[in-house]
Amino acid sequence: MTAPLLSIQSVTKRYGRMTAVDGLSLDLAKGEFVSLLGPSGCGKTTLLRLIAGFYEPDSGAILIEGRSMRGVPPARRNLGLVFQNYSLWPHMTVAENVAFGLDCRGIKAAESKLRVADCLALVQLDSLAGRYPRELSGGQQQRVALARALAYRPTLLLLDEPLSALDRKLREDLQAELRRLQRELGVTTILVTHDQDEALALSNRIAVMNGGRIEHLGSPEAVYLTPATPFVAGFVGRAMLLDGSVQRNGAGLVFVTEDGLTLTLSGSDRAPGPARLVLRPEMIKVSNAISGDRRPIFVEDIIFAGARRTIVLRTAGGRQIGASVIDQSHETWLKLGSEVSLSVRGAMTFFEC
Amino acid sequence: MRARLLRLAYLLAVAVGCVYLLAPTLVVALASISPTATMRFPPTGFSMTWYANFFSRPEFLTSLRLSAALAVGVAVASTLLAVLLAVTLRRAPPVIGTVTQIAVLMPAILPTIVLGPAVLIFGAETGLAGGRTGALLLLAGTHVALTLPFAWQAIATSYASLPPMLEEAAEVSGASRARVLGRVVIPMLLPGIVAAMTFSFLVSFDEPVVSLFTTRHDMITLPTQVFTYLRFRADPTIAALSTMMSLISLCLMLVADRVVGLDRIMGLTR
Repeated sequence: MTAPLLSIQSVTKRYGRMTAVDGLSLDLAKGEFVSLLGPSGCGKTTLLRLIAGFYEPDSGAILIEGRSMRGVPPARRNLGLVFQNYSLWPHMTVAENVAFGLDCRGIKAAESKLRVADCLALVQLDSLAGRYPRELSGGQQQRVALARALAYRPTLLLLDEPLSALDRKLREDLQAELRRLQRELGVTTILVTHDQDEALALSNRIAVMNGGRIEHLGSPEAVYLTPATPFVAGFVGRAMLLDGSVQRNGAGLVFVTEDGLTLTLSGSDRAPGPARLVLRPEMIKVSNAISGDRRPIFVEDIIFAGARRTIVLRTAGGRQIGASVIDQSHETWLKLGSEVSLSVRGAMTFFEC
Repeated sequence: MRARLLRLAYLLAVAVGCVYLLAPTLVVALASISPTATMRFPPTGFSMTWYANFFSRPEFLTSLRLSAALAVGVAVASTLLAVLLAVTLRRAPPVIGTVTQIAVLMPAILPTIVLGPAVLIFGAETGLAGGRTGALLLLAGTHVALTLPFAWQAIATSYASLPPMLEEAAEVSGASRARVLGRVVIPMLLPGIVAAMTFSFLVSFDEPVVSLFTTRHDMITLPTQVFTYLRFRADPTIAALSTMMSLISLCLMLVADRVVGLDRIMGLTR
């Protein structure tokens, strides 16, 4: 196994009494795309700024290509950085913005010109080289920022919420482009984001952060399907955490909460006993097979959402549950007010409670 | 009705204020074209004699050159200092920022009549005032201190509106501090720099008090020269000079306003 390209070793950063990053460790292999995902204030931006060299860690070490970064200023780390708000230099043209990092490295004008053209072609903006940032749309500006960060072939590309200022359609376009670019160039990338869809779509691995620590580090599938902690379950994807117990019911298993909500568990081998169930809307199957011994559940609302629809359910205990189902409009029994029963299928995650 | 009356009273007050502030300048301007050997208002005729007189007197021309050169040098130094301070203080702890800011603004509050003798004593004790170069440096240094509050105000306001990310982006790209300053910060602060230089130039160019204390026979700034001239003659030459200086100030301000918008630079708009 080769040495990691970036190695973060039990790094701590405090602001006064607040600990922003708390003894955090993380290794990145060359060519990897890792997302730091978490709510605001979880320390993800601080961690990115520590890697960039804007702050020094209070303790711990950051190594890039095996070299300690302590005391190395941002300018000497050979990193690319893209900010949320584009941050292009307004007094320079697109081409001048992209050429800046090359100028800093003393690259000759002829070579620099070629590389700027290459980079702009890479983000499909070659025709706008002579424009000023204010003449570009938000999406175009962010592409320029990306080209600017890639032009000098950085060791590591840092992306600080680069897509969150863009509207949804544009965000998705740029996501696809970012994927393509990252694969084509093989540049090791760290993405800071609070947008789980972005993290799930782009990353090789996701580090879900909370309170300055990594709660779960794993592939997007692992983080989504088998969350390590209740926090991860709640933050990645939509999930409801239900406290109750797994009980035997004839041949199968059911999950019963304290207020009497009963869910059939299909395909689980969890041993009976108290547990906390991670319930995701798409795991719920709604059926009209009612058995009299369960407390009733009614359909409160049906919300059309394109390919799927959301069934809002109300239990007798007053609990509201959202189930996301593929179109069941042909099932005539499914309408407002009808009584249903629920079962859970797919990969289920339980925590102790 | 009441509101309209109030508004009328308000406008009237503003108008009276403006007249009160501007009238003396206008009186001087009109007196400067009078052909008489003493200042007369209203002028008894039209003549450019006193303007010609100003430009024919070598002591005025020498002082004009000195004051202009001094003001340009002081404006550049003061503005550069303000830029360096602003850039450095953004990275410093807030306490240091506050203390430095107080120190920078101090000369604006300190009476110049205190500053003048202080500089005189300092110059004599250190022997700095002995030679012409030393005395010139002393005078220039004092002018920098006097103009720095104005330069600082202009630079700090425009620097505050500059997102720190623009500097950080340059740093990460591999730029040295000097390159960040030269290629990113200074070009983006240009409006503030124009304003800072304008204010500093004007303050230094007609600063009378400190110059009076540090004056030497071979180093007389224009305001001091004016003072000396007025003690012996009361002809409208000084009125002619005053009018020209007012016009220059007005032009500089108008240009600065066209280029950068002074209200924005002085932080007057929200």
